[in-house]
Amino acid sequence: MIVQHHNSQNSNSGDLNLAALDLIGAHVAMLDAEGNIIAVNQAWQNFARQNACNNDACGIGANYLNVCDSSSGPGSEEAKAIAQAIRDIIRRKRSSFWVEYPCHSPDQRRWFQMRVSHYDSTGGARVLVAHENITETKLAHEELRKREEMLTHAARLNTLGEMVTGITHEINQPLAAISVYAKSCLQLLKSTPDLPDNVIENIQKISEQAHRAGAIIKNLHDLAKKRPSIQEIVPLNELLRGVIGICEMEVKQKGANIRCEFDSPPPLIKVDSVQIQQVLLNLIMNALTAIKENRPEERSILTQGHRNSANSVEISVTDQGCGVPDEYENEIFKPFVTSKDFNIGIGLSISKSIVENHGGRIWFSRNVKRGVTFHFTVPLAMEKIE
Amino acid sequence: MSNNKTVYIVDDDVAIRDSLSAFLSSVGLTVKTFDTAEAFLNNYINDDVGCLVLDVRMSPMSGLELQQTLLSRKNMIPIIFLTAHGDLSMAVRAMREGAFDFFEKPFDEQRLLDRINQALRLSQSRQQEVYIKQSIQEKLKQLTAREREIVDRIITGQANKVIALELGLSERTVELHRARSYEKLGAKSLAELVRMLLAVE
Repeated sequence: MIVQHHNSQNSNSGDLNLAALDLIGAHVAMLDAEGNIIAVNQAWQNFARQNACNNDACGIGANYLNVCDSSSGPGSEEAKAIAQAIRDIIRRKRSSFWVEYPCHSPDQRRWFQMRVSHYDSTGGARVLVAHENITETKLAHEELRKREEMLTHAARLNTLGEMVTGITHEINQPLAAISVYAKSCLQLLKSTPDLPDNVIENIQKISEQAHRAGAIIKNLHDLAKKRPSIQEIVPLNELLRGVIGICEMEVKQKGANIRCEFDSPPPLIKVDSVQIQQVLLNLIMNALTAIKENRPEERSILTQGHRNSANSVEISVTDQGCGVPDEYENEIFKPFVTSKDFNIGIGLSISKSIVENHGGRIWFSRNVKRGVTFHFTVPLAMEKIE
Repeated sequence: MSNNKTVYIVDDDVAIRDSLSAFLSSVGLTVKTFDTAEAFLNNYINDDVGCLVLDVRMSPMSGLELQQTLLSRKNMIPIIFLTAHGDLSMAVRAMREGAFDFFEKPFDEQRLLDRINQALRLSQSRQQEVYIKQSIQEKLKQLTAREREIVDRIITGQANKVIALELGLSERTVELHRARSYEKLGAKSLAELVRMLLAVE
């Protein structure tokens, strides 16, 4: 630590503190009550040297407040705000301050965190300024966010594919009926004499148009065909944790909490992770909607995963919400059935088709006290070869 | 044997049942419709001549499950599957289990009609076989134990003389039994006798 001499009226313990500052990675400078830099640690000096910063601007003797105030170009707004914060700290208007800022070098993206705090020394009021390189943490966060986005995107695409499958079915049924009705009209008219002009042709056209619509639907279906399902062996807890990571913000925002319980050691399951996470996400989001009117202490969701037979695991999501209306009892897994005004009602039908494609089943039960529990099963990965 | 040929339509969509029933009736076919696989099973008599036009995706029992149930009952009614899904793997599975055909909705009605007629002919000829088999079995029952014993030896190619020797009868007695057996079974030649017995084996 380099200390300006006329100010170095420190005791031995003060020397020790200053020496200790050389050991840490953050760039630390000490300012006096006027904002003059009176001491800097080793990291500060190294950084100044590496970034070709001259001593007048950031070395001992320079006035840090002036440097901030006179900065121009990108970041100058922040620099002025920082100067203001330092002044507030000197005047004891606030005790500390921190800010994160980007500071990219020509060949590298970098982020720093700046912390400012106050302390009293025998020589008067002092301000400590520390800059710490947080690039790694920042990049890791960014990477995590990107992955979550990718997962959500994959889940959404998957939803779209499942939706098209459902719609294909719902539309092809009436199209087939239209075409068959038209055909039977033609059959009935065969023996009718003196038909008005074009009756036969027009009925034929009805049938042609029904087939044309069918062909369009078929193309759409082929286009949206699900990506091939990728089955992998994953520990149940990892899968649950991934889902909870995705919906945590939403859960917090609604003032709810979510708990997770599973067998120990966690069972290994063989599933398409993206799809099964999508099912869980659906069930958790439904639970969240069901409990949103509850008192805050009753807004909890319980997710469980237990082995329920030699070759399957049962996963359940329990809420204390408003439950399932009786009239939906048998309908709830069908597409476009919903009790919510803002929902198109495909979540559970998609979940059902995903679970069934995994060879499992999905159902719900009413809790003794309040709310419902949705259950589904997934195949256990064979851990041992017998 | 009944000469009634019936097209059984099993589909949970009322418009499909109604339109197909109207169309097939208009070309002179007898049609019965059911909205579930269970309703069909409760009403269908095992040896009716007919053809089943079956939707794949129904609940609680799916079309594929109904196919399995019929197979387990050794029922051979030809099945034409209809699907609104265009699911190829399902089609492959159904055909492997002996389905007569598989159509995607919407389908070409004329082609469906042609296949239904072929399926009905198949069902009828299978029924014919069953009928013939039954009548042979009836006739075989009229044989005495001794006659049956001799018939069984005749079809393996044993000569009267050998049969007589092995059973300790006179050749004349064997000839008499043989003639009476031919008469009871209505067989005119050895070849015909062999064919009859092979049919019921």
